[in-house]
Amino acid sequence: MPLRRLTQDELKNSYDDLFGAGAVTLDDLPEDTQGSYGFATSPKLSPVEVSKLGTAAEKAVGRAFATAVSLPEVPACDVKAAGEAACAREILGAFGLRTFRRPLADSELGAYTGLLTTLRTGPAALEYKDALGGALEALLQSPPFLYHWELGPAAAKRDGVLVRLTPYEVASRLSFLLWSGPPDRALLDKARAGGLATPAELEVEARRLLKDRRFERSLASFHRQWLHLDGLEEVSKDGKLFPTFTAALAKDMASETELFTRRVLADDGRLEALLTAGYSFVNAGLAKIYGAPATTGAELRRTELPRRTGVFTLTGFLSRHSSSGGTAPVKRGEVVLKSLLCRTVPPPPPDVNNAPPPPDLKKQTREQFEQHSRDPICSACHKQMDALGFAFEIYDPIGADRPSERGRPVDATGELPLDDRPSRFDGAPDLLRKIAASADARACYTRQWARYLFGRGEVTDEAQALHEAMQLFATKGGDVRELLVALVKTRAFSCRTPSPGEVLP
Amino acid sequence: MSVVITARSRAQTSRRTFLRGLGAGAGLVPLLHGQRGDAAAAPVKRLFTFFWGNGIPQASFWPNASATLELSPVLKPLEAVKDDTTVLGAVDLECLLASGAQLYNGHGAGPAVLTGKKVIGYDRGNDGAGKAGGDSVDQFIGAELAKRHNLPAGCLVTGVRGGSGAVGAISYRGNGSTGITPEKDPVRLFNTLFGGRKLPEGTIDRLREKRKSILDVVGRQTEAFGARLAPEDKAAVQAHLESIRDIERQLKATPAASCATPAAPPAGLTSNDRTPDLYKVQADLLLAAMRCDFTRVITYQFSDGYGGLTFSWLGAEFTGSESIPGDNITSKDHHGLSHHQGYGPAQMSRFVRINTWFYEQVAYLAQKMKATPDGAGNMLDSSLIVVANHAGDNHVVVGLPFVLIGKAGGAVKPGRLVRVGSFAKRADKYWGGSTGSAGVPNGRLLLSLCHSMDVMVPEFGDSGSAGPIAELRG
Repeated sequence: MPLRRLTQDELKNSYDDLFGAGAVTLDDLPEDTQGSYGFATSPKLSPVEVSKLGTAAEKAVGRAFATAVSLPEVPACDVKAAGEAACAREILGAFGLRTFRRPLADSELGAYTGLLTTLRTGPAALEYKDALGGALEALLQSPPFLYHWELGPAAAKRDGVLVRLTPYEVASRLSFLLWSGPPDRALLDKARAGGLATPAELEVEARRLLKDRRFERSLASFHRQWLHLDGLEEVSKDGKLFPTFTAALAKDMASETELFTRRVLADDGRLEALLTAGYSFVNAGLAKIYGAPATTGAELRRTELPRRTGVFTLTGFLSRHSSSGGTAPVKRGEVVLKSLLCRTVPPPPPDVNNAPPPPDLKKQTREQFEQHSRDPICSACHKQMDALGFAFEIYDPIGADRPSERGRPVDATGELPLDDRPSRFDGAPDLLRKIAASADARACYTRQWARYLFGRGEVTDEAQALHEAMQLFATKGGDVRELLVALVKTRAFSCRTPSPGEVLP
Repeated sequence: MSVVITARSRAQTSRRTFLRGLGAGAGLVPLLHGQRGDAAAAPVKRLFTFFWGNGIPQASFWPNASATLELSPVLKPLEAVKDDTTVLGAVDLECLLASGAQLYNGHGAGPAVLTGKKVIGYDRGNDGAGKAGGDSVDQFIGAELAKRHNLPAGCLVTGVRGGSGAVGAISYRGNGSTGITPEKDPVRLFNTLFGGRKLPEGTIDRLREKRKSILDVVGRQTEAFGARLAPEDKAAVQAHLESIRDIERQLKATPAASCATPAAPPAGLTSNDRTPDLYKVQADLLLAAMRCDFTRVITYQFSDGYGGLTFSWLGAEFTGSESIPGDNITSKDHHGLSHHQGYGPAQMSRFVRINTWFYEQVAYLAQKMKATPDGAGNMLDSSLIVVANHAGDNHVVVGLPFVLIGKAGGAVKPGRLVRVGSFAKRADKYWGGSTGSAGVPNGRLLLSLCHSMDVMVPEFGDSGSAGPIAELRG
């Protein structure tokens, strides 16, 4: 498995946990790109990003040290009593453990305490506090913090074709899956005591993490990527057609989807609720779009929305996957097909002119895509994508109800194979209820979490484990938390596939 | 029940934080160049690249063939710098076609345009999938000049739109890279470029020393980390390490005399409708950065691979979606208008207007550079502005409309329409578009840019053995 760097969300959450909330903003950190399966991957670091990481570290440390040295879960050290050298070792050791998510090797501790001495006595001639800050900044720019593969002092331990993770690596994998951030003190203690070795021990810790508020960060991250919502805040719409659409409204849409996902899955927990719930969290601006005028004010409040069914029918998904003046049924359909059903869509053949035809004001959006079904070269793939997308034609480019277009009722009917049987639907709510009840959706959702967790596609020897996790997911009423516990207990979770070319002992 | 949460926030909050940090002199450390010299006595070569996408309306773009340059309607805004302007007809993205692209597919061309290299993992089904096969020419030249002249920054990538990825980015650093996100916030750009100048002299020196020591340790730790990895992973860490070395080099850059710090830009310019104001603020900052010799290479992105701007400031006909007499389309955004096959004159005139507006912006900076003394002449004499696009007319990836402004110290002889490839043989000014490759590979132009900046490499991208475009020298 190739080396992965922490994503923007994971870095942000790590800073929050190391320094307290708000230490840095997302803008302070390098951006991700969208990897295969739609999940975020962090690209190689360019000089701009390296200097960004440096500035972020300076900012967080500067803030934490503004009055006194104060770091969550790092015990204070009295310099006057213990002396600078002892305090430096103690604080760098404790903060290093949190930052590297494993204890520092002696040589590492030596390097960072050495840096502190250089900063103190070399040309920079910093005060003790500032020199200590500089050493912390160095920890925050070092690979063991920035990369997922915690290469501790121990050599790789084989387990068949896989490599067994060290207890600290298991702890990290657990916290990055369930918290989208680093392990806390308790989890690191478990790792040190060897308490993460069996599926039963892992389950206990997993359940503890699932009950923590930090679980919601993971829910928000996974689902934003799963819905391909990145960039929603920057979406702009045709000002004449949608005069109420502003940058602030786009932000509210992103907040709405995030809050909906957090609440539905942290409170109810079922995938079915995520896909069919008839409510959301809206403020006055969003209420106007939904036609729920009773809601006032800027705060997002739970509001019943009888014509909506879950996260794919909220303003965020519908606005993100539309152009500025019209809906984008192919795009909407593609995300549903890939994210929710795990079906693949090959690229168009090389000799196709895929420039869109000139739009026609007399035709409904659906009618403008006729070529896709008429031409056999297109229809093979577009049949599925377009049909799913057309189900959403009852919602306009900012997510408002659109029962008719160009003066005629919208045709949102279609058909797709579900659990190996053809399934007919009329409109997105009907489609989503049918998908939510299918084994296909549960199987795909299971695979998506595995892809997110491992940062790669499924490998054949995991098929059985994933199948079992999916079965358990079904018997536990489709509860996402139970699915995650099941994934944590698989053998694959505590192992990694060797990197290409990796020399194993 | 009511809950308020923070959205995945963007610029707003961080801008405030930055300003606060700057005032406190902590938490923000901008470029620590301190006092580099105001435009040096000897003229300096600089490369400024503008990019926007979606091609051009060819009939209104290409000048008539004649001995001296006749400006077309789209190029009219360049009147004041006409004698410094070279229109190059035309180059083709052969490297993109070699990657498996369709003739009509320029959106994901980001990794091809300025690298001249085949796109890695180009995927017709996923525009954003491609990665660069190497450095883009701006990064390449920028790094070389920074090294040669001890400058604090290599290539500065800024703009109003664009992000990382094949659709978002135009500037790339390294084989397999996904592109550099432009800095869009002028406040942050200002703080990075000029913020350090507000710090007291001793503080700057101490911070520089501190950063040097930190990066020294971080570099050694990164090296040790990479040594234990498998080859593929090692490459990623190696790229990281090279970036660290780059910053270390920048920190060692020698500060020189003094240069004027421009006024700090106002906040709140980053909404679509404020784009014209935002651009002017950014252009002024970048001009100051050039005068202060912080960097000699700048890339400015007006759009990503699909456009991204709504031209509300050009009039009501650029925003509405309702039918306008003579229209047969509803789409009025940049990308929609660029697909103009079958469109009426009303849409064409808007597509022309958009491109003319872009050239008005180019002219703004060009005129300011012309008014800035550099050695015995002005900044345009010594420098080169390059206007790049990823498509010709109607989204074809051939017949790309490159415009050069400036003389690059004599490397370019301007005031002409330079016709190369089979374009040179065409009697009319229309490109046709769908007939495939007919100009010269973009790699040859990129090689010309290297040579014009005195970076004398034998080849760049797919330039092959044909060498630079000799016709540009006159």
